[in-house]
Amino acid sequence: MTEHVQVQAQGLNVVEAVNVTQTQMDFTADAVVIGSGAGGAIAAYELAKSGKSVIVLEAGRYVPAERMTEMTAVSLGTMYADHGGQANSQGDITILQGACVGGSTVVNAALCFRTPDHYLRLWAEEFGLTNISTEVLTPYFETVERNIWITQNEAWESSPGAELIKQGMEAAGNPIGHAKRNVKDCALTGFCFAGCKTNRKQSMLVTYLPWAQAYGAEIYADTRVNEILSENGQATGVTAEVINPDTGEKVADMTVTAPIVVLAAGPIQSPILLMKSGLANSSGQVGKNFACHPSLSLTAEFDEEVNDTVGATHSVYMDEFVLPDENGVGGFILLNAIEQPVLAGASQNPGTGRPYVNLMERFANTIRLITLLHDKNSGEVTYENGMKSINYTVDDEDFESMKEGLKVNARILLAAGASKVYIPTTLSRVIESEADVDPVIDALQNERSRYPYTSFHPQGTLRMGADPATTVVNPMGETHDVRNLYVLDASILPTSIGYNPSETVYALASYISDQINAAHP
Amino acid sequence: MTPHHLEFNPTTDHVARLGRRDFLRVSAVAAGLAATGLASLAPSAAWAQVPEGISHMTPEEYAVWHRLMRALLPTEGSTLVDPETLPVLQTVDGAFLATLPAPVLANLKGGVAYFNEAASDPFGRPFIELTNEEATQYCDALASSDEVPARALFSALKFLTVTAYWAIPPTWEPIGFQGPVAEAWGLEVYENAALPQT
Repeated sequence: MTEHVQVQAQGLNVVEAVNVTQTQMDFTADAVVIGSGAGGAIAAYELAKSGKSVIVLEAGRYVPAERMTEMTAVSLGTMYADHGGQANSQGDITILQGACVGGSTVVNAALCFRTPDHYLRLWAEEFGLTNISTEVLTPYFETVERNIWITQNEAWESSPGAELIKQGMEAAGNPIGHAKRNVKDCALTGFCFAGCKTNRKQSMLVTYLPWAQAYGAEIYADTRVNEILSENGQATGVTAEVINPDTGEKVADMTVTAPIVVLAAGPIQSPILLMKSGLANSSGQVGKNFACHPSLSLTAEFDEEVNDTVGATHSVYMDEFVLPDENGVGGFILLNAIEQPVLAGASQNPGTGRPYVNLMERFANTIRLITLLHDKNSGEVTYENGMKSINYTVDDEDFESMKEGLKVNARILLAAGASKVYIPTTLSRVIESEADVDPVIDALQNERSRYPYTSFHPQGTLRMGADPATTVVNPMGETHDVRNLYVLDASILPTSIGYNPSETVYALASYISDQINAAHP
Repeated sequence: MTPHHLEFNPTTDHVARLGRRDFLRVSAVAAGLAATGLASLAPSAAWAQVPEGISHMTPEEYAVWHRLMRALLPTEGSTLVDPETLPVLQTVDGAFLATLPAPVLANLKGGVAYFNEAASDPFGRPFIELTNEEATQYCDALASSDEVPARALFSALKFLTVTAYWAIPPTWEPIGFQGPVAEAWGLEVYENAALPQT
């Protein structure tokens, strides 16, 4: 173990493709970690801290603060999966994930929730996960909350739109949830989705990754793992390629021989890597049970300018109806969000031509309130002929939940004083009064390619549970089929949880890292 | 919602040439494309005049995209920046089309051709020859269509066009969006967090 650890003041020591001069690199380590997001970074830190040599392989770029632009369009191209173009096979749900050193923690809005007790109990009952009870996980929540500065927004950490939405929630009789975020001294720039240029968001870039490096972990960016290796049912390492992200050309091949493999590439790439490796799928569940919390954003127009372009990206939420109803049909949460015009301008459809121009002229008069659907785990990620597919659509039951959420959403916006509320559909649908809410939203049909959904929360594709016949990962985070192959990302969530899953991943990654260290002292 | 004279079925004759799956693939790529390669949208790269710099559209395709841009963004008389003065289609070309895998780009090109030709059913002329009013009606009809491929294709083409427009910084000032702020506000860049002591 490194005896005198020192955290680098700023940035990380990352080997990027541009730094690589060899065409073949072969390493040996105690552990290789695939992915540097929430799960991978925490595992890297916890394992390195315990004295293990750790190599982290990240397929995405390294984008430190000085290279961030505060331009969402640019960030989508450099820091998101598929340059921001990752979508379901139908093309109507954009699935946004970070693809950079630090993963989605770098480009998310930093909103954090503990895992609902409801789901920890459900997972114990239905998936045998009695080991991750509320009592067991609470210390892990407390630790990560302390480590990455998860705190409730101060009163000043808001935005003009959020203040209106608070008024709307009060007037409509809905409870106001005040956001908890992992941001220290937020500067209220509103650029969370483009990466925090001043390092105030306490993402993995400025927390667990530099801490892991302080204990000796090495980080390689631009390095995509092609295969997880195993012998006699036990993980032995990986093969990878270093790819120049600007040219797409391969720079080097890499092998890492390691008795511990931590898979933390995210709920899309993690199952694909297992498929490519032909591993851990005796249950047939690899890639299945996909959920993603599809969301629709209502745009409210006010008579006066609101200028909701700076402030905390998220300030308030409303989770009164987040849990499934008595029939098991999932609910929704509402979240305010600041959006740049490149995002907000693409989803609004008041009609072609002048209606659109007229609305965008009044962009300063508009705010947005997101309805995030608590969906079922009904999708599947597949990989065939070198192509991934995310086969998922919002089913009819979930769409009815979405409609209920849109109604509550619209009523809050009207109660906030909006003169018009725009429904994001290919048709022009506008609500101008309380009397319009039910008829307009009840008339919506669950039709493909009708609604521009966005998802930030893929999950569930390598679900965790005690039964190897129905789950991929055991309660300790290790695959049922391959010893010493651990999974540490939102893939392992047995069910959709309805809330932003980042803190759940932080806590589970910490817990599983402890299990790894216990099994490999 | 569809005007009587626009009641055509886009999934019959014309779709026979492209196929439903092609539309869906175009949609799958385009609807989610967001800002592929928009790193190239740095202002210095974004000021060449259309059609200079267009390398992934044929002249015919460019004409369709251009007509669509005019239909979607009729800024005359408004405070918005005229898209003719911006490299909107260069952005579509360089930031979106240039990054597509060849088979997907081919599908998208097929979609553009279909989009243009299908206007002949209700109007007797391709899209590029429609009046402003007709072009608007045509776009609204596709968006309102009961046919998934029709609205998926229009949604994709619209998404690419308006996203390219709003990705160009000069479009922001008229709507009150100030763009990047950290340097303008003189914000201190924080150091890495201290190592936990427990």
